[in-house]
Amino acid sequence: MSTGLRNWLNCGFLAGPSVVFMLLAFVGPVALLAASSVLDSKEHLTIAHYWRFFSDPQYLVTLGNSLRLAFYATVVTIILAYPLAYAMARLGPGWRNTILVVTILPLTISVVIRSFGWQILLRNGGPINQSLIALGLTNEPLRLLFSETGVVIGLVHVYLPFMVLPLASAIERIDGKLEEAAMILGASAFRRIIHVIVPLSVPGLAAGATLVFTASISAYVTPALLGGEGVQVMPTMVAQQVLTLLDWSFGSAVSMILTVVSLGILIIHWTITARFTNWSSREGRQK
Amino acid sequence: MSRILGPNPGLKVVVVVILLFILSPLVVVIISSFGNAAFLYFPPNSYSVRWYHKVFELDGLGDALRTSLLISGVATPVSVVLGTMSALALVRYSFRGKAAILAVLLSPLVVPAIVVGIAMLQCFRSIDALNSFQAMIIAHIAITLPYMVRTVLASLEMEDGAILEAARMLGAGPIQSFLHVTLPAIKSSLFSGAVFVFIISFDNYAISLFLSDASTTTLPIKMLEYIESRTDPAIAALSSLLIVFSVVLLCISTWAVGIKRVARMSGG
Repeated sequence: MSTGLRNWLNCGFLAGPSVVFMLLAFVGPVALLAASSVLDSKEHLTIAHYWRFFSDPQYLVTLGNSLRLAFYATVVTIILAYPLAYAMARLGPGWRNTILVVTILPLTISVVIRSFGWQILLRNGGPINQSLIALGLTNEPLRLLFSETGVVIGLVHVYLPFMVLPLASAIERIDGKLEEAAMILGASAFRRIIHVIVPLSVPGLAAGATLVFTASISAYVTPALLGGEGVQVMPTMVAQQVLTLLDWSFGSAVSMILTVVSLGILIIHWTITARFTNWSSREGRQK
Repeated sequence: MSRILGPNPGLKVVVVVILLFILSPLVVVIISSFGNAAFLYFPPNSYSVRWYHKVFELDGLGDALRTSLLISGVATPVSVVLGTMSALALVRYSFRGKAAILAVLLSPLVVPAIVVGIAMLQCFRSIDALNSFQAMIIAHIAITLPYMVRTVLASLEMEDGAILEAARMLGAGPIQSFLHVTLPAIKSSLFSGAVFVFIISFDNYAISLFLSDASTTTLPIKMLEYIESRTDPAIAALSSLLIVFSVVLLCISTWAVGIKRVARMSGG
């Protein structure tokens, strides 16, 4: 038996089962879903389902909600992740491990339980509203639960680790001497962060932001539990179309739009990262 | 460096506040579970452990827990074995279409979970050869396999090729060199990968939602039913038990493979 053939056989034995499995269990079903989004009841090609989505303001509002909430969640996540990541990189192993454990712990707990905790915290008679009233900041309870605020808080909580970890490893790679230099030259803490840390951690920031944004527009449980009926986003709309209204064709078209949006953002991120990497390695060669 | 920049009390305060934000929903659930009243209050007016006794009387909880453990218990080892095999193929051999194969294996990571759920429901319903339990196991393997492939790939790429070469030269066959050289080198990655993948499967809601039926309801789906239908602290008690279970799992994996590797698993 030639080596080529044997390699080929070994490879087929090792990777074959997974590839066949994935094609049958995942790629096939998603392709069929894509197909059913462009077929009418007589199985003729049609763009009617997509047309229905893009011609109805109500559906476009839902897409807008998804994008807006994901954007807010990403921005808040960035703001909260920077101090954590910076402390992880610079405050020593004690802080580093504490932050790591606390950040990872919620990841291992069902999002159903976490949303339940937020429901208790955010409801009208809940501790947050009680303290706001006690502090005199508001006279009547704010509508935190079943509102966009609640959904954004929940999303931030779920996806914060995905921002903290890449950001921390990016900040760790920044030479501490740069910060020292900036400090000796008289830069305040704020200016050191804006002019040294943030620009040099952009790769980690971009990776984290892409993860958080795409995960947020795809999230179903958090909007369903913390947004309620009032906050319609793409994933809750997909579930409603398919499970409640049993409108499979339209549901599959909405699914495809959601997939394309989320995949599109990933592809943009990959393209930019690839170009940036090429560019920086070319720079390296010229030196 | 820290000597020049000095300790930063402001930063530490901010960090502690954010960590409290992260822990708050879990702490609130645990505290509420010890309430005595028939309605869930936070903070409770009086404390008791009586709702912990009620947990085991929750309707259908045992079945849901058994279903979940069975599905994740089957999906995890299958995913570990398939993931390791395909990662070995991708690292050890060079062949055309490698990128395409990797793309197929990792593809579930880039499609929203809810879309995966719908696609599988539509497909499994149209073939009509699988019951809901079998469909659920297939779905859980499909969503956990990419994580396993990625983990094993990363740890195989760090492997020392020279040791493998030495083993081959000393006459070890592929199976022997896998068992005695590769496996010991990647076993902690396999372990943390398996724990992580089990959790992903055990906590999955979006995909199970579509594939479950009356006879196969997983724990997260059952819990959401309780949350929507009950107002007493029994569900908080159940949640607290699951939180403790997660903490124990996290402690075991941190102890076994180190916090850094656990972080790498979840860091994406």
